[in-house]
Amino acid sequence: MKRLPTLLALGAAIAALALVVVPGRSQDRPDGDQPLPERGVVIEIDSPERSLYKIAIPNLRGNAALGSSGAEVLRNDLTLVSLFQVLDSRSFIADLEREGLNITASPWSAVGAQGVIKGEIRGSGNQIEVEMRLYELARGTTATLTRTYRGGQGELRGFMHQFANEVLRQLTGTAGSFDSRMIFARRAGPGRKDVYIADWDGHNVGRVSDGNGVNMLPSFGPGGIWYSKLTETGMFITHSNASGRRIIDGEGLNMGPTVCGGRVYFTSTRDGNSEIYSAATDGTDVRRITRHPAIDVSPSCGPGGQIAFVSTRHGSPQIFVMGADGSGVRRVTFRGEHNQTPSWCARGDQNLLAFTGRSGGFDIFTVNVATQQYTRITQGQGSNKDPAFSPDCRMIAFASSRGGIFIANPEGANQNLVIRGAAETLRWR
Amino acid sequence: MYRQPTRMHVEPKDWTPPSALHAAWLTGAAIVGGLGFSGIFALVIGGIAIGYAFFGDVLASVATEDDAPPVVEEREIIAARFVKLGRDFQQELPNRRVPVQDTAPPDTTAISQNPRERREMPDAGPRPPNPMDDPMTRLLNRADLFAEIAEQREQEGSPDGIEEGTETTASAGDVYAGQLYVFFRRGWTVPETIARDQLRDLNVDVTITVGEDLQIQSFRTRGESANADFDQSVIAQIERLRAQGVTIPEPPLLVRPDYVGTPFTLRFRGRHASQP
Repeated sequence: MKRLPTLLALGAAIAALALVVVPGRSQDRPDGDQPLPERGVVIEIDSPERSLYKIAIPNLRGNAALGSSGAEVLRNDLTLVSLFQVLDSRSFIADLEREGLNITASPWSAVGAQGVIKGEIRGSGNQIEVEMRLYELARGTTATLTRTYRGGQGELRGFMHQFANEVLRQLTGTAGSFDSRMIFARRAGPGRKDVYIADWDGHNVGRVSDGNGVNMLPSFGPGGIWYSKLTETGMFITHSNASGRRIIDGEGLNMGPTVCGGRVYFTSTRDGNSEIYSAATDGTDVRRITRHPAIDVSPSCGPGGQIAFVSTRHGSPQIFVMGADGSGVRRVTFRGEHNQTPSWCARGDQNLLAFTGRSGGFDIFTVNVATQQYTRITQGQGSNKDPAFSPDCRMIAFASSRGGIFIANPEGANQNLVIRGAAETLRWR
Repeated sequence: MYRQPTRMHVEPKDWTPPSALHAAWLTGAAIVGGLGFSGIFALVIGGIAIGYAFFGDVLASVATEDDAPPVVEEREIIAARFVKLGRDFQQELPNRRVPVQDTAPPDTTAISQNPRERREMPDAGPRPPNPMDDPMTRLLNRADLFAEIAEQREQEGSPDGIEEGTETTASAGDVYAGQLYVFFRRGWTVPETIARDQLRDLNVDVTITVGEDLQIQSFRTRGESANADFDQSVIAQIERLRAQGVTIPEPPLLVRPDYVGTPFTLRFRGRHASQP
């Protein structure tokens, strides 16, 4: 009994010690997830400005001509996507010969670079091997991205586009679409119009249609490039691998195909009024999708099976959206009196549609169909029509009376001419 | 003749206060009176009860219209749906938003290197009286002056506040903290390659030590965000300010010990980044 008070006191002391020591240990432990205790004043600084990512791209090592052209492809890609400021190579102070494929941080930091891309072309004859590296100075002098490509010299542009896609994935989390292509129609002479395909940056322009008659309203799809061909009695739909065969035909006009979900959606006047129809990709199983006395044209496949189209059912041409079976028709443009040529952003989370609107002249707009926020892409810059989003929705292409196909970012900035010459009804994939 | 007072004899019972527990025997009259009163009281209460039971039914049978319970008619209740207040319907397509071009030279110095310098401007002297002013003009001018004063008096916040402020009253510490917010934020940029939804959740702490000369002596980052480019943008911002030798705004005496010679923390957060 005499020891009881002593034991109680000892127990109380141990308990008190535990209460002090345990929390103290958690405070002193440098846990990355647990903030250190605040000392003194804390001021929150937010609302930073945004700036372009400064990146340096010296010419590729190895073959001088190929190294220069390869680097130029990269510089062009990263400049047009409106996320990068490609530094002038004349400002570089680094000893490129001594560095080789590696980098030293200080000379690149001195010119303001946040990233550096280096590459080397090895091999001879027609077979080359290209090693590419990306350095992010914020992460040190070890390459954060390394790729090697093998193939013919003619594939160098493709290698550079692929590497640029990977650079975007590394830095932003989403790959780029620099290896994509555009299709469009172009008047080739009196009574003649052809469908063309080109790299998105304007290289490798080639004709798709057979060079006869009027070919227009192209679209990507299984079997090649789908387009409409004018005849003396109407129009039919074919594609580039059909050797001129009429895939979808009927009375009147059959035009403007867009392919998604294994079906082709197109405009037809076979029933006496312009309506939207769908068919299997072999032209069978034709179904009427819209049933309205107004004019319904220009179907455009979108994310989630949505179909955008133009209709005059509310008095003036406006853009509507419906399901793949024609259900749930709802209007999505409520500003302007003449809106047409809808084109979806393929990323479903964006809810973006680009279209041609008439406000003075023809200009390019985008609308968020969920929030009804409109953005004007062009104004006072000639006549601009037929927009198309890039597959990653980072760029919008459109035909402009300023001399060809232009590319801009989704806010309308950084507009650049990429394909010279008249063009219409663009698609981009 | 004086008489010797006699000794008073007091019994204990004389000091005992009267108590009901020590009641004396009741007299006959008291008993009769008590019984009589009880009987009368019982008769009165009983009579009231019997009377209410009888006459209450009679009164209820001749109730007036005001006393009749209301007749509830069953009817269908239709929930009303109200139209919400909407915004003005915009008919026209919008104009293009052109990014503001910053044509001013880069702001390499946040504040004066010598904040204590003051330039004394020469006094222009009193304004000469204009003999053409008529009383009505003077009255209108005076009214404008009062209107301007009233307008100033109605403004919220503090003339020493910042545009980004949200509070209308401030202590010296809050006002100065706002000035430091502007000082350290100016010129801070993050690269476009950081997606907006990621940028919103990025933050990094920097502990700053400022010397008596109000220049940044040292700084240290505490932890890191999930994006190295974001961290680098913060480091670059602090390094730029330190390399330029700029001085922080003069702190009020009351809060000076919190900022001069004592480390304080800046928490850089990527939220509310500017639109491109």
